[in-house]
Amino acid sequence: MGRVIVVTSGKGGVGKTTACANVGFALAKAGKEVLLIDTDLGLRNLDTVLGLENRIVFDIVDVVENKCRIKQAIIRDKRTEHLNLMPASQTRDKNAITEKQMIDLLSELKNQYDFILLDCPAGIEQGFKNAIAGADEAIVICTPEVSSVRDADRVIGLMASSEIAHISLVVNRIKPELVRSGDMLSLEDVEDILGQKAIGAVYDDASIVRATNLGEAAVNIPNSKAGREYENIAKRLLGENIPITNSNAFGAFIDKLFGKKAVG
Amino acid sequence: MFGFFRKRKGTSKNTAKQRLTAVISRDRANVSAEFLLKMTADIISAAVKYIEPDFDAVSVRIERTGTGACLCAKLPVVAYKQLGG
Ligand SMILES: Nc1ncnc2c1ncn2[C@@H]1O[C@H](COP(=O)(O)OP(=O)(O)OP(=O)(O)O)[C@@H](O)[C@H]1O
Ligand SMILES: [Mg+2]
Repeated sequence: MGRVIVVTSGKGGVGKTTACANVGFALAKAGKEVLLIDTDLGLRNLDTVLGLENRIVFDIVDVVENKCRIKQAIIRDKRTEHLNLMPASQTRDKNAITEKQMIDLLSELKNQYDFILLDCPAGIEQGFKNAIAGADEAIVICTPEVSSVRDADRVIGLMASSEIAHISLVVNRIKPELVRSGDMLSLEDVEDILGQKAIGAVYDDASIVRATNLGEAAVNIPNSKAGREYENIAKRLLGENIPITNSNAFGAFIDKLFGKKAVG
Repeated sequence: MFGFFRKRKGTSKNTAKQRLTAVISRDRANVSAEFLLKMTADIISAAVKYIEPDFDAVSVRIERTGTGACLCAKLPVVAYKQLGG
């Protein structure tokens, strides 16, 4: 039985789709059979982030409306054997699918994959409700900013009363130099505020922008720091014990090297 | 009394952390800013009869416990006070 994990955040634009694509790719590279489902109806993006936009024929709404068979709406990525995408519909809105339809679809797909990652839309409306309905676990993405952390706490609270048994936190777009100068919340601050240990800490990294331009996953770019961390997140999901590089300790070390006083 | 709410250590991230802790406590408990402020002030004013806390490290917040909530006050003790007098 596969693990169904929803990638969510509350606040928009914090890196859900990017994380979905990269963690999914990393899991596939590790030999796991992976299905990514874009549940952001009307604003599909996972296809372009992965460079698969030209291969779409059918989408998730076609599946639930029985306009095609499930398999017809699943695109197999040709770069790796184990990565698959079910795209969102671009023309229909959040209400085109119900929670019940989502649960039924996932229970049908669950035993065919090791991992199903759901790319959740921003917000806490119907699209969010659909995405969390069939999931067993969640990855909550937030950036080290006030509004993003607050929204992350809100979705964590909403999921507490759902079927979701396990929540993992990823702090994205950390800028170490700002953390060191005392102008950005550190990983540890965010963990402390949310009362939750993180499963990943991703730096703000230009290689993400480049990878997205190319329709390539950052995990496939050899010197991408963010790519390496997404790979580590995949390994941690698989139960490997890989410590998170401590942003403060690392900063303090760098500052010591350059003779500056460490902050935070 | 409300000196506790002043900025700590001056950095913007400390202000962010302090604001977030307060706003999230409020969101979690679904109470007003005034409620939380008054409760915090009352807890601290009760405690200072017995201890002198490290005001820079005091925190009063609502934490999550599964589906419930827990009021967690942390008041590091600098000194104990004499009773009576
Ligand atoms: N670690 C990172 N470093 C630099 N840029 C990043 C990082 N993570 C995400 N981004 C960029 O941030 C933008 C938003 O990312 P993404 O689309 O993954 O967010 P999202 O949460 O899925 O957004 P939405 O809520 O609109 O679905 C993109 O331009 C992406 O390239
Ligand atoms: Mg997205």
